[in-house]
Amino acid sequence: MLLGEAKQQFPWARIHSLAYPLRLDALGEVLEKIHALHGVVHDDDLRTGYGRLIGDSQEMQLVKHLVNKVASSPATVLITGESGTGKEIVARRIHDLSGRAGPFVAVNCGAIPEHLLESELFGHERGAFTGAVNARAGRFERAKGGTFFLDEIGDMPAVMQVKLLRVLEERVIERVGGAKSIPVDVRLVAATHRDLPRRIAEGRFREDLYYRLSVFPIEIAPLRERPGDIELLIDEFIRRSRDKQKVTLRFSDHAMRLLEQYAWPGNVRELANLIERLAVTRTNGVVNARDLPWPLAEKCDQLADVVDVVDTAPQTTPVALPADGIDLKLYLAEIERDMIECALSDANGVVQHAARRLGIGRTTLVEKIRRYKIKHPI
Amino acid sequence: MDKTILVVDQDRALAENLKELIEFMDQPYVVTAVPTNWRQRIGERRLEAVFVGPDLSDQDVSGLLADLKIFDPNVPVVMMQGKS
Repeated sequence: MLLGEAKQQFPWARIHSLAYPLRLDALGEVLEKIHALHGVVHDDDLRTGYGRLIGDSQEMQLVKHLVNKVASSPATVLITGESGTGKEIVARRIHDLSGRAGPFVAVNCGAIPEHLLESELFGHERGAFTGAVNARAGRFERAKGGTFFLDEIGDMPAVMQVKLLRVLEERVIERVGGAKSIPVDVRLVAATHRDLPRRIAEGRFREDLYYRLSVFPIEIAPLRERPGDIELLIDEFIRRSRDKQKVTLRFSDHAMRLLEQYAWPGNVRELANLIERLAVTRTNGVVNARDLPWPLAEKCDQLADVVDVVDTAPQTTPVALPADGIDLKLYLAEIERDMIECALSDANGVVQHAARRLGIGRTTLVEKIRRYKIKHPI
Repeated sequence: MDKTILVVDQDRALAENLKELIEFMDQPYVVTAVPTNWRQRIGERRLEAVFVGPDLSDQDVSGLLADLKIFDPNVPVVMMQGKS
């Protein structure tokens, strides 16, 4: 059945498509859209402590100050910042400190298909369209007494911008297919990574809506503009990986310097993902400069001489034995395997050269490569 | 309990391919080639999404969506398209 036919035949269904052949990024995009559609955040998520604002830079201190100042007021807040800077965390924090008893409800305006957005936000009455067998409350109603977070507001379709403006002006909604005005008691927080003044100039965003939304603007600086926060963020993400994956990561001084110098185009999200990935791949917890992925590793290669000096130097991190002990043989084997892989990579797969760098004989190295099932270019 | 992704697909290779990708993303899943037995297969689990394979007949897709409407009409349905 073709997608168009399915949408026509089953108008009530939330139908997405995924192209064949399958690609991981395309699957990820579809799942992200689905998560956005089901984006109600429950209070439990907020009790994990992961919603804290981390950073001591002047930029983050200002954000924290503004959040504390605006939280208890009913003012509409517009949060701007690049993707991955943590706009939703700021929104959650505002809700957390607001004292509002209702839930925090989030919706990603850019992820919901245009034909579903109105019903998603405002709900629908029974019989509003084919397949609407039951009346259904929208997100505005579900956020009653709480905070409604409209993420990616810059991507909201023009027709919905008009409807949202009316809600902001009159504080009432109408369900799709309904004639009754329903009062809504929600605190609105919007966010976008878009340059809204530019989109207004391009005719893609309503100026009147922009002024309604930006009653209290908060801008989050990209991570590259507050490098002082990187270490604090790393500490926090290490703590989380210790809780979640039972691995305590320890970065060499040089690896840490590379992390601090990197531009982080994906901002805090990119850093968090990196630490999580390292916690999976570096089971012994030790992270040297060479263990960092591209493009950080590329920078590492450019500074190879420095790496050799720094990373072979004794670790400055104090050695601590986990309370439940370790399997020393396994731990040392992991380090040995990592060193062999590193040496083989440096030697472009030439075993003789790699063996020399490791200070062992060629036959010994070949035996170890077999034992560890290391794949290497020969 | 975590929500589960349901894959209904009669093309074994495609289902296998999708299964690998979902596994890589650490999502729980259930795969079935029979569009009528998914209720038994998922048990008490709630559904995150349903992936519908391109080889399913129109009748099977209609039946599956009708069952889903009764089970939970809010569950997103992902239709796999473009298989040659």
